[in-house]
Amino acid sequence: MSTYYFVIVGHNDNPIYEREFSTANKEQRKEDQRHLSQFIAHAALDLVDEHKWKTANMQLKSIDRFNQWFVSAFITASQIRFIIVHDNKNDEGIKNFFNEMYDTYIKHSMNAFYKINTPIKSVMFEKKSDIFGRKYLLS
Amino acid sequence: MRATVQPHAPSVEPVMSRLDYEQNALHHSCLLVLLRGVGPSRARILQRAFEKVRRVNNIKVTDSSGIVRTIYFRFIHEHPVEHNDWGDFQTHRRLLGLITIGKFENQTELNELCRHHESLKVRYGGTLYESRAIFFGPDAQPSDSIGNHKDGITTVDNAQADASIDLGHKETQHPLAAGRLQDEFTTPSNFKSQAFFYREQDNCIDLESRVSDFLNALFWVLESRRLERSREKAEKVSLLLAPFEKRDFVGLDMESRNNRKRCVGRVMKNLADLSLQAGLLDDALSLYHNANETLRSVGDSLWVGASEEGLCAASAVILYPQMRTSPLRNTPEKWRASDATKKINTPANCADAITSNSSSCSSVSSLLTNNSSASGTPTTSSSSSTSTISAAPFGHQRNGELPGNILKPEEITNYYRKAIINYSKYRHAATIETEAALKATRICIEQNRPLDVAMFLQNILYINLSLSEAERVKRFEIITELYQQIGYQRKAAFFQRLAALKHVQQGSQAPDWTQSYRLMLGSFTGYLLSLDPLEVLENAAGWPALQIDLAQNLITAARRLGQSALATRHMTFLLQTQWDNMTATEQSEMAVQLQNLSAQCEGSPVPLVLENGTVIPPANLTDLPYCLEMVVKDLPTHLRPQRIKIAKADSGPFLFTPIHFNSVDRRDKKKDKNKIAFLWVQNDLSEVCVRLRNPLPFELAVTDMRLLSNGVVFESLPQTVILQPHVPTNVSLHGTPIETGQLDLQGYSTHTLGVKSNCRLKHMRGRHLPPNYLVDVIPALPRISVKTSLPQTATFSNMNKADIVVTSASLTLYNGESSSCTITIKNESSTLPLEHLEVNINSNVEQELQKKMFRIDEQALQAQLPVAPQGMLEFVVYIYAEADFVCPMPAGSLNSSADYGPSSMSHYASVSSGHASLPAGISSPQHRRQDSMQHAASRSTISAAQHSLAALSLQPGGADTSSSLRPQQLTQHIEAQLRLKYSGGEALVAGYCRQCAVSLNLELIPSVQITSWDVLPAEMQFYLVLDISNLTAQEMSLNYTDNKNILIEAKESCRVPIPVDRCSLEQVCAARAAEVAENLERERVKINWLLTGTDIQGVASLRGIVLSHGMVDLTTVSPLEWSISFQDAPVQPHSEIVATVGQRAQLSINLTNQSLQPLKNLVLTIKFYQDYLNGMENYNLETRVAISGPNRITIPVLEKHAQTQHNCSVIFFTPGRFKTSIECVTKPQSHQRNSISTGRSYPAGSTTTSQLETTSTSSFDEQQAHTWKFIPPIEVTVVEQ
Repeated sequence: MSTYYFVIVGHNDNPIYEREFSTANKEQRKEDQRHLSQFIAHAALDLVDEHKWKTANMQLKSIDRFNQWFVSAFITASQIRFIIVHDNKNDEGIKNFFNEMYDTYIKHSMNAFYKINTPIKSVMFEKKSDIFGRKYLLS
Repeated sequence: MRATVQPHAPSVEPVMSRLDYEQNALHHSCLLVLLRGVGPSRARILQRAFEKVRRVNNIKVTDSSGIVRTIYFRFIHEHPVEHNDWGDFQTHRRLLGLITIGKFENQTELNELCRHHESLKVRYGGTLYESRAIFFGPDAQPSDSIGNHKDGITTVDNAQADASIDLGHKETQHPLAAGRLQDEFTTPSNFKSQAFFYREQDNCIDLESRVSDFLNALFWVLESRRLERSREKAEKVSLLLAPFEKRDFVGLDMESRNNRKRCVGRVMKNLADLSLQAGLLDDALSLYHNANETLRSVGDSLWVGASEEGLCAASAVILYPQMRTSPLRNTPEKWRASDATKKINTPANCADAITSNSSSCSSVSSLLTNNSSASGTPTTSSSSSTSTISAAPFGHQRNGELPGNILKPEEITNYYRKAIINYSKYRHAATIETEAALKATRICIEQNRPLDVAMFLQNILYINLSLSEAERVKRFEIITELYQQIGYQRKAAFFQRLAALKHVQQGSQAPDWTQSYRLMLGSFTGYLLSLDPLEVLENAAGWPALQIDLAQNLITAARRLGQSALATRHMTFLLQTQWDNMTATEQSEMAVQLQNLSAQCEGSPVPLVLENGTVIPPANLTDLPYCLEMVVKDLPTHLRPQRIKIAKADSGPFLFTPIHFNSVDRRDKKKDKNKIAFLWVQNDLSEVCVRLRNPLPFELAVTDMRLLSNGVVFESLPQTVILQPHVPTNVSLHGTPIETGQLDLQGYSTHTLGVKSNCRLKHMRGRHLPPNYLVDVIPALPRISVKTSLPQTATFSNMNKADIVVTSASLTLYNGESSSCTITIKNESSTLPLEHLEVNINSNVEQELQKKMFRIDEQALQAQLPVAPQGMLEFVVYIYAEADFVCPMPAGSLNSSADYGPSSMSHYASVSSGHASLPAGISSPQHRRQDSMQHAASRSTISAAQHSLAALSLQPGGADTSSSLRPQQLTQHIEAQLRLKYSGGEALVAGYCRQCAVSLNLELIPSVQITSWDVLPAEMQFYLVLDISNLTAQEMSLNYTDNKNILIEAKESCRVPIPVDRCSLEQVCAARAAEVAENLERERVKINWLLTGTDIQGVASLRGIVLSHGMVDLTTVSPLEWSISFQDAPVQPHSEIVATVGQRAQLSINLTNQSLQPLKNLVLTIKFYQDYLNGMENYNLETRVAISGPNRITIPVLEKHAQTQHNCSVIFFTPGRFKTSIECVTKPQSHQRNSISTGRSYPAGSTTTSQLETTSTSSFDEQQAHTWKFIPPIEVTVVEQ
């Protein structure tokens, strides 16, 4: 069983998109789990901000962990932070997922009606993240 | 080998029981001293002593070789005995000294203190070198020093006495023994330690030096141990062991080469520790290096780790001496700021680390205080103790160079990492490992390497350490603190929250909500929350879900603590700040929760102060209910203040100009959007309308809503509303300004869900509301109530300014009727007099007409002022139902009658001839009617040459016209407003007043109508003949002269002749004929009517009657007096004159100018004609009559009262009846002469026309031709001879 909590964090530490991927049944997933993931992701922001200046890569790899959870991050050129809290190693999958999501995010941010740093409410985006999540994270 | 170690371990339990979280690398070089307060605690008193002792944390010692060493001490309050067991492993863990501080009042207590001290000595006996006790006794008793008059001096003496003592209580034979404590009280015999006695209020001047002595003693013992150790023979050394290792080596061959090496290595490491403590840093470094090598070769991981840690410690002591004085004081901000400099400086640091002393300190330390920067130049600095630390060990020897074998700053981290890895191989070394990680963290913080800090801190969590819950929490807290130091607020907050949750986690026996609350509150910054809700809303940053969670946990903690006020406050905060981030259900749930919480403690907008001094700013439910709009209302129109004199608008030469002369001001005004244009009045109830929406799905009761204001004192009236869900509701908030000046309306306060809130406009977001409203309040104005004597109207008027109407009056009048209305004004104000009252009338009729209709006695009104408070005033409005009594006529006819040009001469001639043809007597009404019709016809048609025929033909049409005109005379409605401007008191001085109005509704019913009119000549008078209709439904009695009355049935009309005296031409010529006629007739003709059976009466005016020029001539007295004689006999009117054919008859005409003016350009014409009495007149009588001389005589000028005579002879050739028409015509003058004549001054006459009008009308008068006839014409009957 593996769970992934994916979040896009804006400039003011505000989440603009959240998504969970899990192989477990819905009953098994707890609200607590999600909450903890949020806290872990938030705490990792300090390290993301530290790492982003230390490397030229957008992929920051696994930068933090807490108990059994790992935090992998990706930073866009506009300093939007993609974070995944996961409980098993899957570097390649996460890397691909980030790249695809970055692509999707860029396309979405091109929309003149989307204001940067605001929550993403798009069916397309949702669908895409679903597809990529299943493809790269859960497979 | 290690694998065999671990399974045995649990049974031994040699693990250190408690972590020392505060330890840093520099503590390796310190001597450990336990500083303990004993006996009943009197913290306040002993605190001073503690501080004094603690201040002596280092001493300088000059050793045998003359080198000055600085020795450091670490004072601790707690020391688990088992930690001493690790003393072989790391010597700084060994407790070497003991100082107890206690306070006693009597001998028993002193004994107790001594017992405590001794028991501590026993407890740490294994490692303790020496101990001291510091006792504070009671102050010197006054009874003790009876001989001494000055107590103060006694105390000082005592102190001096103490200072002179060397060996404390044992030297009892001291001369000043009398005042000494140790003489009063004695320590028990089993107390073998040295003790210092002080009075409670003593200054303890010598305490430091005594402690210093004690520390010196400790050092020397340590130094002896070190020397002992250094002199040990390598072959003979015993194996040093960490506590848990004891079993491992049982049965092992200690003499093996490997073990020998191990022994040597460990001893070397031990010696290095001692050297470090003894201030021999160079020795320590090289020993550590050696030990490290030796131990590594035998694979003694634990001790390798220890030697590596030692190396780090020794290097840190040299590199970061500032860590000792200001342990990690650098704030995260500063730390962050230096980030950039660090990146630049680091390479330089690495390169020069060994050679240059100044680069040994990181850029951070160079940014620090003078102390640390001074350390960069050790040779020059000897002022501060810190600089000498770094200088002392090597400064004088190596000229500022660092020892060659020191670890470079970046190596320290690596060595720590290695050490930790080595430690991690031993489960029982977990404490050592954790402490090492913490030490490494602190070094990294000093080095400004946040990622390494994070790495070490993260590692701590994975160290498998069996800890109590309290220890675990402590660990989180220390991690939090360290993260905060590197500015990782989010990380810090994460662990702070974890710590907070651990404090109260389920299953915990004693949940500590206080700690939990404190930590939760502390983690606010990490989640970008602030205690001030406004700041939170302003920033609008952070992770809402986490913020909500945190706030909820905080509320729970506050509730569990029983701090209802806090719980309510935080709940309010949550609702206020996170409203937009919650779902509708959450919102209503939270609202209900708040209601429940506030039931225990009502929330109010005041800051709460926690015990630790934290101030919780107020939270207001600004948007609950949600304010959509706030409108400041003007006073009701009739109470609105206005300027008494309206200041003239600044006027340039143009009525409108696109150039704004004061454009700057205007722009300013626009900017000042919150400035209200109207005024409020002191002591007058004012209103603000607020539109609210309840965003909750249930009814929301908002009580005690008041306006919030600033500036002028304002009394707000509370308002309570119940808001239905999601329905915008208008709420009116009232209040009274008590003072004058500027009132600043900032919002309103509410009490809802049990919370009092101040909802200020400036805090309402997302709406276009100004931050406040500014209203000017002017001094109080009086108020009045108005009553009228007339009944009120049912309908309200639709005139402009109808809103200022306070009462109304209605009145029905017949045209021409008079009435009056009494207005009563009461001054409602209880304090202010009514000093100013201005009355004027405004109506929908013309100004002129209005003046005639309404009249107010202004003087009588003003005489009644001022009206005292609660006083009354009465005045009367006289009303006259002025109306047009004359039947309206077509516009065209008016024009024609006004056309007096020469071209219409013939018309006038015909008209006048028509008149002349009329018999003087008035015989029948029928005749008169005909005449009037003729007249009407002649007015309407200029070319009515055959007027009699025309009159005949027009007669029915004329009748039709008159009947068709009647329905037009309908009831007339007149609306008028009696406007009252009033003021009084200070406001009057300030120039303000109020305006109210009484609406007057007049209904004017037609009474009498003049359908047509004419003028008939008479002897000395003339008759004004009027056709008058009674338009009422009642019989009317018409009085038209002094004594003549006529009754007219309802809807009937009749003709009345009114005899009027002629007036002189002067009176007439002064004004335009038509107007004059009207004026004259109004003056002299009174038509009074009375509805019979009622007392309704009135006057009909003749306004509107237009007399033609010819008619005007009739109304005036002729200026010429005719005196004609025929055959020397004066001619009498209607007399029979007989002449004979062929005989000359003498005709003499004598003209006298009776007027006041000279008459000019007169032409006298004599014409004979024969009247066939069928309308034909024959003027062609050349064959029948002849006149001697001209029949047209020009008289250039006839002065006043002058006479002129013309004589001529007439001969009739045939018999018959002849008529003679004698007339005098003034010829119109040329324009030029006319203009000269305008200079002439005419007497004003009886008319009231102005001079200007006179001159213009006189010229007008001169211009037109006048014809004066001698009437009746002379009739001559010629008979045959």
